[in-house]
Amino acid sequence: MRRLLLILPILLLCINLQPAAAGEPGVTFAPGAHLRFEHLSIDDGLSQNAGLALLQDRQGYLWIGTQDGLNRYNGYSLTHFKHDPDNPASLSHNSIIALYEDRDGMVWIGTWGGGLNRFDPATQHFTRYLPDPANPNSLGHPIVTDIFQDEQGIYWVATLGGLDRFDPVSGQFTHFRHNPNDPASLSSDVLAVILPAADGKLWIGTGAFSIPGAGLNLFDPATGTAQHLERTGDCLAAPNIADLLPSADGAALWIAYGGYGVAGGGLDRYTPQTGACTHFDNSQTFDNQIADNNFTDLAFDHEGVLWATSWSGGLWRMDTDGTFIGIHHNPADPESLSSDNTFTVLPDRSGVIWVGTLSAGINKLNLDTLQFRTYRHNAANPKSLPSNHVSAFSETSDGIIWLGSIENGLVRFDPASGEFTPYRSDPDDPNSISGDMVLTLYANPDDTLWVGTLGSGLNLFDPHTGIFTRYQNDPANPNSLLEDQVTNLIRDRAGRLWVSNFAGLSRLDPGAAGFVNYPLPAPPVSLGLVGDELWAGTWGGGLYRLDLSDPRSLNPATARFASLKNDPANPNSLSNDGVWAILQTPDGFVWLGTQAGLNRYDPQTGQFTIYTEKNGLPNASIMGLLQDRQGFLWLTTNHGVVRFDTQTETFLVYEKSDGLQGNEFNSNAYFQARSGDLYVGGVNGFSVFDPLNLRPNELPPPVVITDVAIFNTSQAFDPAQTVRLNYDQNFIAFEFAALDFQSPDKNQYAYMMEGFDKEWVQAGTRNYASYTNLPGGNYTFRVRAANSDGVWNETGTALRLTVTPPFWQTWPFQVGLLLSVVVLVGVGLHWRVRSVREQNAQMQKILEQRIAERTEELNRANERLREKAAQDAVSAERTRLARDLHDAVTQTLFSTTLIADVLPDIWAMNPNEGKRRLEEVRQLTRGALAEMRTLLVELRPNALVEVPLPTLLRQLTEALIGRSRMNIQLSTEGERKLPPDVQVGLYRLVQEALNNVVKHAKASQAVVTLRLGDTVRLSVTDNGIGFDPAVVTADHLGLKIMRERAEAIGVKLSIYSEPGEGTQISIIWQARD
Amino acid sequence: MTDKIRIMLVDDHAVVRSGLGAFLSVNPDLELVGEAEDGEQAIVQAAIVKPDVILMDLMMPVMDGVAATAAIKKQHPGIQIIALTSFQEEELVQNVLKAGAIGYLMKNVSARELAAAIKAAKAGKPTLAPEATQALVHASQQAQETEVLTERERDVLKLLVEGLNNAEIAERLVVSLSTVKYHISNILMKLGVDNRVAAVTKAIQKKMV
Repeated sequence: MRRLLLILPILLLCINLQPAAAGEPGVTFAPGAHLRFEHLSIDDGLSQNAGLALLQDRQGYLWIGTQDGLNRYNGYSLTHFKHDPDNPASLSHNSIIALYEDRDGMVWIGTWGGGLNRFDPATQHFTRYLPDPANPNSLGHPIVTDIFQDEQGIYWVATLGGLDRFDPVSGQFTHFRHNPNDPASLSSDVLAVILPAADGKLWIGTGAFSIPGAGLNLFDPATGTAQHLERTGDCLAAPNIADLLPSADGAALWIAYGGYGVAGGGLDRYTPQTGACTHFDNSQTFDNQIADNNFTDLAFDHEGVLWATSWSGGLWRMDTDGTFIGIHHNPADPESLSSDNTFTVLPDRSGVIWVGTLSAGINKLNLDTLQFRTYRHNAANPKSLPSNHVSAFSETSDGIIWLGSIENGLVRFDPASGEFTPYRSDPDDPNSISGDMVLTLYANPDDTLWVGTLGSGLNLFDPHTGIFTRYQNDPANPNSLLEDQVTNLIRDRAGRLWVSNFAGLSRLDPGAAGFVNYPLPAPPVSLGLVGDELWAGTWGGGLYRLDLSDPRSLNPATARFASLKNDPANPNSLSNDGVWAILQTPDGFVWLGTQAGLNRYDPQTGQFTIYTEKNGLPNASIMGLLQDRQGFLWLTTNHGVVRFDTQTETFLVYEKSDGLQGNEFNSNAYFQARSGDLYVGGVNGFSVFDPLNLRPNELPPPVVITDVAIFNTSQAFDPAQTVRLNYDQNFIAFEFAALDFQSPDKNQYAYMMEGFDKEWVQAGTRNYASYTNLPGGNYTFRVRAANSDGVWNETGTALRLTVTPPFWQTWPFQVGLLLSVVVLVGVGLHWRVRSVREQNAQMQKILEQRIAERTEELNRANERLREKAAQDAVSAERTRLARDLHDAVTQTLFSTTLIADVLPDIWAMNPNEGKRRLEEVRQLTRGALAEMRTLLVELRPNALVEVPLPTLLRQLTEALIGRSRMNIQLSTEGERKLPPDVQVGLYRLVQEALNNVVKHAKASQAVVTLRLGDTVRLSVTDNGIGFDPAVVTADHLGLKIMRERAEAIGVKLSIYSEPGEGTQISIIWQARD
Repeated sequence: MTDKIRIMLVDDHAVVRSGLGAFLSVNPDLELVGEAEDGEQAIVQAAIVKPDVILMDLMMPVMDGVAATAAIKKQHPGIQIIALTSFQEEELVQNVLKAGAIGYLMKNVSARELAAAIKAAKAGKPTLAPEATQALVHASQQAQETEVLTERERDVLKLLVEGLNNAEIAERLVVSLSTVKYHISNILMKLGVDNRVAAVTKAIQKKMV
């Protein structure tokens, strides 16, 4: 029993002294690991780079007080609040040194010379409280260092001129000052900080802003008296207190000694009940890194870890074992703390640590990123990672991690100390590594290491002796390493080492002196063991498989490699011929990481299942494959590390913003340590993490509407009140923010205008929405948001909105309008009907009139047409006749002229011919004259009637003589008047008959006889060829016309003819009484 | 010595042929090689005799000079034809020239002019009597006048000539009555007449439709 009791404390001690095991959840500040700070400075919109006060209000906004203005951050932008001399509702002073939020959500601001301000978020107005010499109940001093509201609602204000008690009801300030004569008064007027103690008392720290104080006081508001705490040994010794912080259980008090421009004094952890006190100062605790012992601020994060800022020594964190770890500014690392002059620290509710500095802006450390321990080269630290290009990992049984570096050979890494030791190639030392470009490592059970280099062959390294035994290609020796560019190493179950190189595979059997070489057409870059087979993935040649159970495989000459290649035509084939990683999982599937796609191969069935970006992969170049103890697959790609759930086929992506070295990973740079930690390497160093303990950000973020703008002009609005709009203010835009600052750009939003939108609008990472032309009515604009890990705040926030409709949309107006429209329509209709009827009647009349007119017009037109036609007919006939005669005359005269023209020449040539032609001329001329006379007669309408028939016939026959050169004789007897139509008819008959003779009879002679008496006898006889009346039809030779004419005038027409005997036409007319 | 120009005479009037014969007999360069009384005879003779130049009358029975010109030119493109006529109608001039005649002379031409025209024709040069030229010019002007009417107006004019009244025209052309009236008033104005009957008459005279 006693032994047990003895053992117990020892056990407890042991437990306490054990370092934190790598299985515990939470962040780890691994030694040597890189911390990534983000910054907010003037470049990002901060009003000034001195961050002297920080506050996160109840809504989630981050307030930053600088020496030139107050800033409010929503994750996207910084809103400035500054002193405006023309606006009494603005801030009183731009130098902010204290921030406090009371129970009503009002933000109290202490300034350096401008007194106290109270900000109302609803009205966005500042109420100022300044010392007024005329008013003893005004604020006592213009420099306000802290504010506190007690349970009764009374405000206690710490100033550099004592303690003020402010009653909001009365608006009066009551002062409590140091009285050197009164030991129950405050020990100093220079107050720095107020902290509530038990029983309503107040802890008050003194000394601030270049004025020294007098230690710690405990003030009793009930009595107005203060108790000064005296030093006890090292504790409570320093005069200037920058900050006071209660421990988690409330029993102890952390005191930070120091402040702006005053002397430091380390840290105390003081338990008032017991008086126990622990003192921490530079020499012991802080590794001599805080020379002035000046601490400026204290805070606990949500894991209960203590953070402290120092005036010149950077940021400090107390580890679980009670040691303090310092975080400093590294000029060579832009992602380090921006300055060692840190002044204030605030862990916000989303797990981000904010640190304000004196002149280098605000720093932001996302603690969740520390789940990934990232190691980078640090030029200031020779024991840091030598170079950022990590190519391979291995582990020896002592827990040491060995890295392949592409520029610095083999590197030894001690995770416990965070220190790196490189083994570089030394041209003068044959026992050094053969080359500095290490691509692959393999640890043997005896803790020796095979080290493959790119271009300098293979090494066997013994860590104990530090000696590298080199194996390189010797062209003269076929049993030397096949080629010096070594890409991968693996050991099969028989203990044979397989070395892949650019030329193929080299096999080293245990105890053998030389290599057995297998040349391959494509360079193998990855190796794996699947059952009895050795699998070699190549660069561009697909996959080769060698069955090691087949004895022939051991002889390169007889070894037969099966292959798996990409066949573009066959979807059930390897997705790409560049194979970087091979992993067989316990379920039997073989996973292949290729340049384009993750392949799952079933060796039993030969089936491939391919995963690419389409399935959710951020990038399809799979560099490395690991499986954690839960069965998830971990892939390193060219864009992040991916956790693949093979059951649900879903991907979870981790990127640089989550804490990884970067997004690009190197092939072969992936490894699982014995502890289960995964090592992944890239071009920016490497990262280590516990795959089973990655914790997402599970806090749903608060959502606020940050801006309401009408026509792009921001409006002041009270989120609790309804925003009223006019109908014509019809372009309204909202900006909103999820106040989770881990990765604000990954926060997501969904919004809906109730009363207008049918459903939620998924906006992704867009944090604004706009609406135009909202009809009159009441609306509610709702916004929901998710944090960077996709955890949603389903309730979100809402803003009520009312759009007053224009008068024409209000219902009384519309009803009135409707009524008046109805009435108008009724009246109008009646009126219209009447008017139409009238119109119709009128139109009827007009129509009738028009029709009558028209008919008259048409009749007249028709009449005119008829007359014209008749006239035309007559004149047409006349014209024809005239033309015929005219034509005849013209021909005759033309001929006459021609002959006359040439007669002299003819006579000269031949006088007889001349005489003949002259006679011709004479006849032609006479004939023409006769023709002319006939023409005139024809043209005169009554000529044929007036001129006696014998005369007409003479003219006719003479004209024909001229025209036809025939002999035509005329014999007339008697005299009498003939009826006009008979005369014209007889004339026409003779004309026709003679024309026939001229045209057709081919006669030389014709005779026309006319006997005028009671009976008129007329005949035309020729000596031509005649015709057979039986053969020739009547309408030939114009005979039909003649018969018709004869009939028309009532004459008897007879035609006698015989072929060869001539023709005689005889006409007899008997006058009728 | 140049060859004589071989000439054929085509005219239905014997007197004309006689006179032309006398004219040719005194010209040493010109030689009479054939005669015809109508177009049909002319085509046959031309094929047999193959003259250089034909003096072609236009108004002839059986086949007129224009048709004969077209036929002969088609078969014997080398034969030059001079129209010799007493008519000067625009259409006649246009048609015979279109048919291929190289010259157009009136039957008032002097012997000297005729000889010159024949020699020119043999050389491929055209000769036009002033009356023919005038006719052509007038025809061109007339053509312009016809083009001044728009297509729609010409449609309306055609129907006017056919004897349709306004309502029937409107129906035929599928337009409103007022549109028809509008077109007609334009037509009257362009033709320079004041009533539709005159317009119809002019249209027929000038062969506008």
